[in-house]
Amino acid sequence: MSTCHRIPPDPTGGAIQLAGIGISLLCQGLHELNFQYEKNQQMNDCEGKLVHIDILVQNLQGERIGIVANKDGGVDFILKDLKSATALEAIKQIQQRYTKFKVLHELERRGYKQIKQEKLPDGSFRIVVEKWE
Amino acid sequence: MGIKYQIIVEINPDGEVVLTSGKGFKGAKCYEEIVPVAKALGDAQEVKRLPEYYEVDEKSKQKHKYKKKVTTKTK
Repeated sequence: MSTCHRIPPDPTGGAIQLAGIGISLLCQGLHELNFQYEKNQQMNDCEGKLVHIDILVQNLQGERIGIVANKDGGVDFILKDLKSATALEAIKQIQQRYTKFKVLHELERRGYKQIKQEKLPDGSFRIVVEKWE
Repeated sequence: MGIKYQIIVEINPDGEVVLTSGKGFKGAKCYEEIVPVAKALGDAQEVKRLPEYYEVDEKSKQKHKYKKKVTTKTK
C-alpha cells in the first residue's frame, strides 16, 4: 500500500489502538460523532487501489475515512484526498473522542463515575468524575 | 461518611489531556489516583503543583510531596 495517503500515528504514543477494548472505545466515539462506520471493508485509496480497511468511517460530508491497524500497535488513517479539510477535521474529532472514552474507561476502572461534562468554546471537553471512599 | 474525591479532565481538540485533582485530594492521594491514569494514557508531558500539594493527607496525617497535575498527550 502506498504511504502517500497515510497519516502516521503520533510519535508521542497513546495512539488509537484497535486491540482489546480499543475498538469498543473507538466505536463509542464514532457513535457520539454520528459518523456511520462499518468493520472489515475495502476502499479505494488515493491511487485508486483497493485496500483492506479495519473500520470504514463516513463523516457528515459523506467522505470516507479508512482506519487500519498498523504494525506499531496504533492505527493509520487512509483518505482518498489528503487535503480535504473536512476529512482531516473528522480525524481530529475521532482522535479526541477516542481519547475521551479511553480516559473515562481508565477512571471507571478505578471506581470513578462521571458527574458532569461540558464542551468548551475552544472545542475541548471538560469532564468531572468522582468517587467516594 | 466517606470522602468524596473528584478529578477534572480536560481533553483539547488536539487530543491533549489535562488531569487535575479536585475536591477531596490532599497529599499523596492525588499521586496514587492520577499518575496511574496518566501512565495508562501515555507519557506525561508536564506536571504542575497545586496548593494541595503541600496539604496534609487526612488519612495518613503526614505531609507528602507529590505532583498534583498531570498533562499527557494521547493523540
